[in-house]
Amino acid sequence: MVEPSDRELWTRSRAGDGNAFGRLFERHATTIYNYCFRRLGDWTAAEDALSVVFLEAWRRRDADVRADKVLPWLYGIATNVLRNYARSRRRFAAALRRMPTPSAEPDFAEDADRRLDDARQMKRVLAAVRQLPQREQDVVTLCVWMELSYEDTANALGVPVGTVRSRLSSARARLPELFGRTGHEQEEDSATQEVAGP
Amino acid sequence: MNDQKLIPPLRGLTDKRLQARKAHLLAEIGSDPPRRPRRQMPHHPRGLRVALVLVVVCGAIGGVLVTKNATAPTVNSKTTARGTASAQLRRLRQNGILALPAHVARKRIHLDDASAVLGAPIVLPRTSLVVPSDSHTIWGVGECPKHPGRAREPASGCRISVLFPAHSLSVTYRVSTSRQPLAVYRSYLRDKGVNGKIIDLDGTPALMIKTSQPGRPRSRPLYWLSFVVNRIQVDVVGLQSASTLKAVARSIVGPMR
Repeated sequence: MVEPSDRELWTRSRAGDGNAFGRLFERHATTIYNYCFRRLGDWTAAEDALSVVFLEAWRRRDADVRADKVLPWLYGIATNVLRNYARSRRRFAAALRRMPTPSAEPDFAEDADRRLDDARQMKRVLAAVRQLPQREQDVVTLCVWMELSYEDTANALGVPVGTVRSRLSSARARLPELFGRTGHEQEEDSATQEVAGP
Repeated sequence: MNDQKLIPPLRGLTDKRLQARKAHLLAEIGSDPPRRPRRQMPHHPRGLRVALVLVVVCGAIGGVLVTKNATAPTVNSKTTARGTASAQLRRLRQNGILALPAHVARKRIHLDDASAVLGAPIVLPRTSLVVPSDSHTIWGVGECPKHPGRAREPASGCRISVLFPAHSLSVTYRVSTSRQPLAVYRSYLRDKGVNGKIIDLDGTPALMIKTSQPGRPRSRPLYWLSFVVNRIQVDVVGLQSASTLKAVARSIVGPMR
């Protein structure tokens, strides 16, 4: 069976088709989940953020979205959600409380270790990147870490492509120094102490 | 940038977690009551947005004259008029140009009906800059008659705003309650301390004020020119030079006499 395109799913979602929206969720959940993790440095928080992003997307489904740009639009929503994460969480606090507690899952020790390492590593990187202005952090995360094109990044952030280029250029110029300043090569403890909360 | 290798690789949710999140999402959106589709706002080109600003400015400032004139005799009523004007201007600054539809009733009308709606003849400008066919949108703002043909009196609570977005210009017509506009202009200049002066348009006194665009104090100045001919107050507002605006005003004054 041919998978329906984003365009088709989005059109149906806008008309109120929850199942189509569910398909979109399945399709893009991993991408947005990883984006949330790369902004927050915490897998558990990223999972909640993922739900908040899609609940927010559903709330804003009347917005004019180019049907072939659903993913960049979701990135845009995620960026806003993460920028005001505490506020966004409050908005959907009741919904998140209704999320069933995870049932006991097999504990793959190796995977759990890897995720723990990921979080430590991510927090060290974020300690450096968070010294950039917010607008440059957005561009670095989307363009470099999530490998979005300039056009899609511009679409997600609602700015011209030229602005994306200039912000990225400015960030590229500063990051090596910031990584040096945060002691990226230092011991993990000293690096994690520098991490500010999201 | 060499930080790509520093980023942990992509990892997915376990299938179970993904399905649990999806089920939760579907349950949440399923309880969301269906919405009515949002009304699409028409797209206004930049010129039209500027013209809308002009209409609002015109309404806010021009309204002062009408209100002030109607209530001028007592000190208290004068204060009220000032309060109303400042409140209008404050709203303008706070809410921007889109405040207009929320606070003022308006209806788009056809040029052919404009005179009938106002209850008095309307003359559009005709200069080297602008001709009547350049008019883009015409609004009946305020309490305009629903059946203009039946009205016996000119509609005093109604104003007709004609937008020339390509020229960043608007012309507004309303019935004047002032018998002595010159006195009103003088009083306005004295009381408000605005950057303005009284000029002569071939024998018709007019008030010309230079001001800044709402919310954009450093941008190109806005000129507002107001005069009364045959009991119709005409307000010409634009981002043009003072001399251009005078020429526009003269092209209206002559035929309206």
